[in-house]
Amino acid sequence: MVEFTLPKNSKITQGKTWPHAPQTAKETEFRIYRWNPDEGANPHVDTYYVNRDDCGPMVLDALIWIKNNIDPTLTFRRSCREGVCGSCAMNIDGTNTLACTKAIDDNKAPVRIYPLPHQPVVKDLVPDLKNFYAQYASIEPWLHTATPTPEKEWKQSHEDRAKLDGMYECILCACCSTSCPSYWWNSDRYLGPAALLQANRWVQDSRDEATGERLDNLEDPFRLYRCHTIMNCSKACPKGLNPAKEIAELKKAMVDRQV
Amino acid sequence: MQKVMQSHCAVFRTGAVLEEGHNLIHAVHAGMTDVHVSDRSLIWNSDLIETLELDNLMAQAVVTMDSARNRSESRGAHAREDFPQRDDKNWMKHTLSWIDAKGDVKLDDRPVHTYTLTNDVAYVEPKARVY
Repeated sequence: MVEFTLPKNSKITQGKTWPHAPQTAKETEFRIYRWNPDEGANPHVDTYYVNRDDCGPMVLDALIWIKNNIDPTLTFRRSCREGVCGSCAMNIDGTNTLACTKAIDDNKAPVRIYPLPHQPVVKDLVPDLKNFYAQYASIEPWLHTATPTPEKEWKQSHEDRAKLDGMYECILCACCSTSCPSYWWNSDRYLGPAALLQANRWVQDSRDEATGERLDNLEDPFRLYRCHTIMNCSKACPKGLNPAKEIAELKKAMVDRQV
Repeated sequence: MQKVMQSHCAVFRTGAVLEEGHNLIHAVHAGMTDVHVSDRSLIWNSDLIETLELDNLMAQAVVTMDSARNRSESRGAHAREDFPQRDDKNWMKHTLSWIDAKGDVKLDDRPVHTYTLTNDVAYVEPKARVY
């Protein structure tokens, strides 16, 4: 049967409001999605008050501050805290982005934080990205060659290297794929912007000799052509890349090889 | 622990600073008995993992501080401003350290190997670093 509303166990309820920190001149309210698989209860949204005099400028600083000072059970992924690892991707104030590069003051107060949309939640702000990584693996993101390996490096001209700009910077944070409505409905068969951007990165690579096989692998009504140029991916990308353009390049390469 | 190690066990250090750091880090170590884990979950429990990491780091921090305090010379990233020279006569050796649950540290040393594991490469004699 078609479900028009969220399943009963996914309805988000009002959670706990945690006490204010003592003596704060400036504080910001955070509403954070919490779900603990052990409790067997519905997800809820907890309210926290962060003392801004004692906390760094980014949303990730606030999350760490909450974990250190108010509630050690708050769970989220983080690592580099400077936008190069892609661990802290989450939905902040309605937009998928990296908590470490998003300033607290750039959001409407109260700052609402949810896990990446349309992914199974493992706990709190930690989504299960197994499918996302499996799709990345399916495009075989490594150099395919038939000619014998040269004695030194596989060489590339400056111009050929420049073709990879705008693609090699992708950190696979999943902000783009999880912002794509097409990916929400068809993530079992549609590869999503992140994996397709990476696919184009290997199609455009002058050293790769499996361009034909790579395109064959994408020639499918779902894997590539579920992209309807909605452009949410390009809007979401915290690294300022343009996955929609790279998908268009792929579609163009498909046509080019037929004429 | 982080603050004590950064202020009292940086690369450039003196005997007095390390002595003060020794007292501070042992005081921090004594506080470990008060540490507890709030998150009782077995799924993605970062609170538990970080507490285990702290437990490991704390022992490392205490033995690092005490070993540094003991080594009265400068060598590599251990730059003692009160002993600016490398002392190969007395300190050409590895420090070994043991720590017990109470935080008491026992120090010993063992000689440095003066051979390589292959016949193809000869042992390189240590010499003064010149830049």
